[in-house]
Amino acid sequence: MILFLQQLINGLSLGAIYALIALGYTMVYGTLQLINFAHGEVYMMGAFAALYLAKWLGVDQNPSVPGVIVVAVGAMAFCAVLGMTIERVAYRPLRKMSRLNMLITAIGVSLLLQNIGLLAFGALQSFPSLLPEAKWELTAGLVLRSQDVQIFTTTVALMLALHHIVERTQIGRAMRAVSHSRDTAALMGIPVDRVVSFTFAIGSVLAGAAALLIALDKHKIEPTMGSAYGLKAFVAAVLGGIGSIPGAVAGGLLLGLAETMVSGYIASTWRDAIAFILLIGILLYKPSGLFGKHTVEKV
Amino acid sequence: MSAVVNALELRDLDVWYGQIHALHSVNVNVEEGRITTLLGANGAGKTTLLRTISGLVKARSGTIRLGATPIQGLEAHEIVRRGVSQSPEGRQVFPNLTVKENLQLGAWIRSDKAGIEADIARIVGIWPRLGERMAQAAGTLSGGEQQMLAIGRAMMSRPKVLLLDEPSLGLAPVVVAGIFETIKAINAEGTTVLLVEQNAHLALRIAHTGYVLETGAIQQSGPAKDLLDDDAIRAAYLGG
Ligand SMILES: Nc1ncnc2c1ncn2[C@@H]1O[C@H](COP(=O)(O)OP(=O)(O)OP(=O)(O)O)[C@@H](O)[C@H]1O
Ligand SMILES: [Mg+2]
Repeated sequence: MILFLQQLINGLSLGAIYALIALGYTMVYGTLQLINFAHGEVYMMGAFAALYLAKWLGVDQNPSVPGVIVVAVGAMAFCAVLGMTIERVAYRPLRKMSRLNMLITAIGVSLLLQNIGLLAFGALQSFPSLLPEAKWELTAGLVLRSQDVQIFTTTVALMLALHHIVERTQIGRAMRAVSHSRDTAALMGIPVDRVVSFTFAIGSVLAGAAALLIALDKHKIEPTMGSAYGLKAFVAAVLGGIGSIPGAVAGGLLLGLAETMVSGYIASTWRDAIAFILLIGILLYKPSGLFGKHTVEKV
Repeated sequence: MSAVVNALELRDLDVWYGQIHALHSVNVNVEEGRITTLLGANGAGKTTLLRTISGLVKARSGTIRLGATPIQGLEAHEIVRRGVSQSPEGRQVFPNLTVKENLQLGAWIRSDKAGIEADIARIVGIWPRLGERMAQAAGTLSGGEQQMLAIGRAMMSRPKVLLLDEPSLGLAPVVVAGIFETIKAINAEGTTVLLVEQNAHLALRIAHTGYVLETGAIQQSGPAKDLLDDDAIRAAYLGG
């Protein structure tokens, strides 16, 4: 039972990160029917942006809550600009061409950014503690870490904000309209390009937040982290039904839990395999994903 | 008596889809404050014409003037801002959004909250059935209700010129009659209308002026009354 509860905490924590990244895949897919393979690299760049910003501002020397907030906002803003730039420079010129062109371009942008990361940042770098860390032993053998609490609270806050934007604001309605039909959205007077840009910005902001959360948790960041987490988050988006916002959240949490349960109860060597076992399972039995097609919400 | 002014003027409009010459040097005047109808068989190019006016399709040559201002080449969303809105073929309501959200999106270019609410109330006044279904996903509406919503949504931007692409498509005659009454009422309140139809009889009865498009070229035009009596038109579009 203790093991189960412990893996539940670990799994929700990991799953929250997957969910935050998966939202970016799913929202972009919803608007452009594009699998933005570069999204994982936006996440990776967010981690390094946070690192250099923290060093530059001296937050690594004098950790403080306001300091972390500045680093977080800065990294998220950096990701937003990066995501919007990728869309503007790499995808928008191809929008009238076949989807395969865009897909191949996305893979190209992903490789490009990863290699820029390898050149600029080298390999593994350690990420400093920017916040006091604590562990609470809830009962014998059951540990809750402050990093888990950070991840849960930040993720919940971001999801509530996202829900508000998508469901309750005019730009959110426009995002849903654009995801249904760009032409019809334009007939409403909606500047479609700006809405697409905004969608990339939001997805990238969430990836930036996930990057900082994971950096503060693991204290290690590397230029290849985008492909590892990115691929898992993409699987999570497909599990949930790509294009569906609740699906991305559910898929992320499901995958996080599956991974930690498998490493807790079977063997940690099976951890990475489970993502692909789940993926194959869902593609066989419900290709549209848990929340796919029938969902009312598709961005 | 004031002279008739053209709200919208199409001059020598040529549109191509790749190798397909969809519109051949089309000239159309949409007179201010009136209903102009554009008739034609399947594939004649009616939808292409409306999409070109709205900026979704770019003309290869020719001009489109809104009042005195050329608008060809502007982006679609900018054309809405200038005062031209469209209820597209097949209604195209946003199925996952509620009826209310569809109407709110129609008012995208506006920021006067009170005015928007008042206009939604006005549309509900015209079509009480939309009022009862405000919180319902638009995709669950009947075809007739979706058509009402599509027209209402296009009205939400308070357009000078309203483009309607086959509002009668797939609807029962009694529903169509109601919708045409409303089009007349909207026009009577001052909105200029360009109505694309295959239902030539109904369209010519509410329109002042008619144009007939055949394989991308205007074949005939004139006062709607004259077209209604024209033998060739009767034979081709009015079932004898
Ligand atoms: N996107 C497109 N690409 C290529 N050809 C097109 C495209 N859209 C329309 N066409 C062609 O242009 C011609 C005119 O089509 P359009 O849809 O404007 O006709 P329409 O008069 O609206 O017909 P309907 O009454 O069936 O709606 C047709 O031959 C059609 O096949
Ligand atoms: Mg048509």
